[in-house]
Amino acid sequence: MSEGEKTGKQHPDYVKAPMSRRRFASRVAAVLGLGGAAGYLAGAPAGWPLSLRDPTGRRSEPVKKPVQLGDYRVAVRAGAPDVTVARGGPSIAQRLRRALAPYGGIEAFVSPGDIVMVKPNVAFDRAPILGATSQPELLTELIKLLLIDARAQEVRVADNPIESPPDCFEKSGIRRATEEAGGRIYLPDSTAFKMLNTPGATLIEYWPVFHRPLTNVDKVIGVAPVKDHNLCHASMGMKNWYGLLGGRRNQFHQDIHEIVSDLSLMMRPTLTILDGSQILMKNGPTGGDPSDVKPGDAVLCGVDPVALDAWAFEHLLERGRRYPRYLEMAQGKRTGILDWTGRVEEVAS
Amino acid sequence: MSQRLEKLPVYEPKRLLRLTNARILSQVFFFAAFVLAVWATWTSRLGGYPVSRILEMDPLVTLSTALATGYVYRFLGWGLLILGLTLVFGRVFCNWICPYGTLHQFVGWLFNTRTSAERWASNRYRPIYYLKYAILTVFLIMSAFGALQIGLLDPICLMYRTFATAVAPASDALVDTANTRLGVDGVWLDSLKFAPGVERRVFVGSFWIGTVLFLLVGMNVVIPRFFCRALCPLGALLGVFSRFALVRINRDLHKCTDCNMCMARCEGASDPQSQVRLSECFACMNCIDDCPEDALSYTMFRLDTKQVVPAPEMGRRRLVFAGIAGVAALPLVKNNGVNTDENYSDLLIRPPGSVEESEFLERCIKCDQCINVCPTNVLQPATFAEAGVEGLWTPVMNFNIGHCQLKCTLCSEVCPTGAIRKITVEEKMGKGGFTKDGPIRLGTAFYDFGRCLPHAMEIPCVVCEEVCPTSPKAIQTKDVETKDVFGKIVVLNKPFIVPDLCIGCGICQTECPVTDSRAVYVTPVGESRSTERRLLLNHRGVTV
Amino acid sequence: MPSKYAPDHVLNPIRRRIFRRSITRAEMASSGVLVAALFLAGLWILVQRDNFDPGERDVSYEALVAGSIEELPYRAQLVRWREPGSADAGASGPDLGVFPVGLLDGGWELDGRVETYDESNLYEKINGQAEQYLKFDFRKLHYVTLAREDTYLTLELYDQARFRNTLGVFAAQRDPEQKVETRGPLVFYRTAIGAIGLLGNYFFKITASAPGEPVAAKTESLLSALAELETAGDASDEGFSILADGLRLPFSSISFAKENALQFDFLREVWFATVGGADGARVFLHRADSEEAARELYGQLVAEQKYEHALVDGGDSRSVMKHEFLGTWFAVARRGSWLYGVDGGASSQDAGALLSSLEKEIS
Repeated sequence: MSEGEKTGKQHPDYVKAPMSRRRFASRVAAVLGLGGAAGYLAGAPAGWPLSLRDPTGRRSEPVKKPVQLGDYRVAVRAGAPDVTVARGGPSIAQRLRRALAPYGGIEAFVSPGDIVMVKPNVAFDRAPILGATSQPELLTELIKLLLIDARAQEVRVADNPIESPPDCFEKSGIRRATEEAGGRIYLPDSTAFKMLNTPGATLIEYWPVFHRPLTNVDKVIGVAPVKDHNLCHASMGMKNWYGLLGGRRNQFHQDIHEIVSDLSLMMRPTLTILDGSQILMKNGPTGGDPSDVKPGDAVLCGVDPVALDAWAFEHLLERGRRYPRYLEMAQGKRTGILDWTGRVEEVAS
Repeated sequence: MSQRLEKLPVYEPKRLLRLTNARILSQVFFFAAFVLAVWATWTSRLGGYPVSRILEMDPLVTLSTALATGYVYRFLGWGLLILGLTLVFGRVFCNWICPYGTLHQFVGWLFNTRTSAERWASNRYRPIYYLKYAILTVFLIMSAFGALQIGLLDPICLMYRTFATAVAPASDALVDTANTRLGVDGVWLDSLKFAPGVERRVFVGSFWIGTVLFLLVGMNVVIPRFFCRALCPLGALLGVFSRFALVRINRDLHKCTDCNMCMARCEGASDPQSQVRLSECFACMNCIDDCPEDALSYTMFRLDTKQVVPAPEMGRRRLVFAGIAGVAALPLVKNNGVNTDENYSDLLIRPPGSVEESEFLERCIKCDQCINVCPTNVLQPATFAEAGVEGLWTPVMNFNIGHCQLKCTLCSEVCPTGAIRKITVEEKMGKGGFTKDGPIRLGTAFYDFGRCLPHAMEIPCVVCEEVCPTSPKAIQTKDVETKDVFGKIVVLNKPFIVPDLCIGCGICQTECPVTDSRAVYVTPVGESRSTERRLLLNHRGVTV
Repeated sequence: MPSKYAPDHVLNPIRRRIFRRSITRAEMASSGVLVAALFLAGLWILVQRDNFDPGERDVSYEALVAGSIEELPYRAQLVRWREPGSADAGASGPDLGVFPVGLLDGGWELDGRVETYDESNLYEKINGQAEQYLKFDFRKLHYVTLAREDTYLTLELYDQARFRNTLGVFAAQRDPEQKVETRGPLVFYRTAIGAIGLLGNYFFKITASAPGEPVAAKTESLLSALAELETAGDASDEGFSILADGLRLPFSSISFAKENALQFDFLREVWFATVGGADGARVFLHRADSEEAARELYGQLVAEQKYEHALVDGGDSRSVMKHEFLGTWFAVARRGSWLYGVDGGASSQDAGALLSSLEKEIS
């Protein structure tokens, strides 16, 4: 009882607010209910449903759901060679068409309505004649073949260069070549990478990869120049896939042959095209001086990336048969066969 | 009232074609042009757009750099356009053109919950508004003696700097969130980003730069147009010149009933209800709209010469004190001792094309356009560590974050004052007509052999040699086969620098895997812009 | 703070009201003019997009060529690992020149020093045999003698400039009974006292003073060490690859004649390969400097062969002839700058077939 009730004199501002039994009961029920629920969330053992308890701190660590890449290879017609070489001829475009002819043209690889990703080498902002990047004419011709002959739905051109991506695509001529031919450029930004799982890889079993252009893609084609490399002796078709890696990929130079052979496990492309139009004979992979480059006249296509690289190492870089170690390692990982004798077809002009 | 209406020879007011609407349109246009300039200052968009024009139009930039260097660089003559405009129309720049003024006005208007009486009180002229003239005096005196610091408070520089280093990355992060959280397809979203196609950009010290803007803009809630009225040195300069304006606000005494309605929305606090202060009036035309008697007009005919205060009210005493402050600041700033040729920070690496350091500090207005256009995010606003107080927020290169792209000279193209002299790619690479001068060197790379993997730990690496862009490479190796501590035979390519060939681009530092403290790093000694900070006497080497 | 008199608005609650009553024509006109001026300024800005010189933002190829640096910096050779317990683990071993460091493993010591000879003084070392090397573009001989207890072993490394030359020397000196082994880029056959073989542009001979286990072991290790040697490029010779890779002829059947091929003095630098045994037919292959040169050679060859052969099927670029006495068939053809043919074929079909297969490889 309040003072006012006791003495009978009521303060003018006093407003009595009795609590009914129902209100009291509902208050108690609310407290018990919410308290119980909160207590359950915080205290129930970790295995129980809806429990938020994290006794060791490991539960709250971010869980990365890695994606996986498909196998983009297609079956080629019986008797088709594993590597084709087209030399001479009036233009790079014509060489490409000749190199594809033994397989039955690009239609043998790409079906109508496919989404195709073309991965050129756009690693530096060099002019194309310096041989450090893929030739724009080859890319134009390839994209036209894909869109017109093979009736692909979309052609995506992507690379994750070490240097500034917009500058590299611009100064190497790849951006203009792609856009004029009707392709679409994908540049790497912070949101374009996803954690990739490559089962069986030694170094990159889980690694962030430039995944945006590979989403929902049906076929993947690599277009690589033929280059010397100061560390692994050659940078050709297999090393080209390095450009899809994200994260701190500079750590892999401590075991460069292992990573290049792992790349052949990570990516099983539909087709690899080697462009021997401007061969970077020395000072690779950056080049930069016209005297480093030897003009060539070869375009190679291959479904066996190991044999393709081996043939190009011997005949285009003219280094003989002491192949880089990553080729044997890739053969050991069963992504190709090193001995190319009998599997190379040189297409007549 | 209706009687008066019939008597006056009026036209039916077409409410749309008023000067205030034209002013709003103009503000929107210039603000949009400003944002577009920030947006277009990117490697894949720049083309030939005159993105620096808004800084080159700033007469304070023209005047102070002319005082500091004795010359008018490249397009800075455009500042005379605004000056001419001011000489005819008064301080129209502040409310029709200046994007910073637009921002202040917009925020002030949006959050203005004052009553009518409170509005009149907030738009009174306060004596503290003399401060901007003092600031202008200090800055101009410092500029005349070679210490260019107007960039700290010049509105366009301040606005650009904040947009480039704080607003643009924040906006890009927002767009990225739309991408990742909402799963929107990337490619068309790239047009909304200020820096598409690259990893999210970061800028050292953007916290402070953004905070300055936030505080100044936030002050509008307390005092409307606080910056423009009390701090803006450009406004002060235009205020000094607007005393000669031909066209101005004129109050017709015969019509005025002293109702003070014109003070409700006066932006400049220029007392239109009494003697209008020409040096404060922003020509916002709000008072004309508010006068129920149509007593105010913006005209050059039939002016009432008594109802105007043409000159800024500062007073001799304050002017002299401001002058003394300006003169006293000079030795304090210049003798600070952290940016001399004997004692300079090893982090002070300037962009390619920069002039020698003391001249650089006479020119850099800290607008940070170069930092905005840089495609690799290597340019950062300096903190006190790199160039002391004098060099705060000037551009320096941080090779932990990015490298200088070999064939890019965009920073030199956008610099409005020539602190980064315009160069071509041929000059940067030392080819063509510049073969004799050689390439522009930003500094020289050095190894920390105790951290380099092949040298100190028998682990093969040599990423630095791979990415070095010069031809022949400025990083060569001594190849040694050795048996490591685990008994395995490894071939170590032990790198070393050839300083004659190194251009200081920094990509070796960026790519070194020892990321916390790189085993190879670039320092500014050997930069080609300075003879005092040169390393090698002769460049040995392979001849062409 | 919110109260009865000052409600707690966030945004400006007052609607804009215009209190003026008249707008002059001048004001309307100037507003219109200003808006139009802004519009034009906007257009001007948009038009400026292509108003720049792209040459300033790139470097021309001509400038790069003019500033090109041809000579590369000196690069020291790879320093090989040497086991600390071995004979030469001094602070710096003897100068071995081009020989691999593994030369002195296994307890062998240098007897004397490494000697080098070039065309002018090759006779001093190997006397009468010098001619067979000199005619194959001999450049340098690296000669070293090793000693271990009482046994001596010499290693001779002849630098013949090109692979085709070493093949020629090898084929000329080879004992046809010996089995040829390959190990990577190394091609060799063993003798009782060592081995003889070739590696790229080097022709090597390992000769010991007496046979034995240490000699065999040393030969083995030398062969491995030699396999690591740097050779000049040009490991793939077109003519060789046509015969070896294209026609799949075994290495031991291929040889190279530097001059006097088929006993004609005008025929130089010709590849030969025997098909089907030592008595079988030989195919030959030559790349002339140009189509003209090939045509001329073709004409000469056909004219000369006509003395002993009867022309069965002749033509401008292909001829088949039969030897009047021996009955063997000779066929020769040319295509582009290539001159090729078959000598000593058993029948015209054989000759024709071999010719066609050569043709296929060449084109």
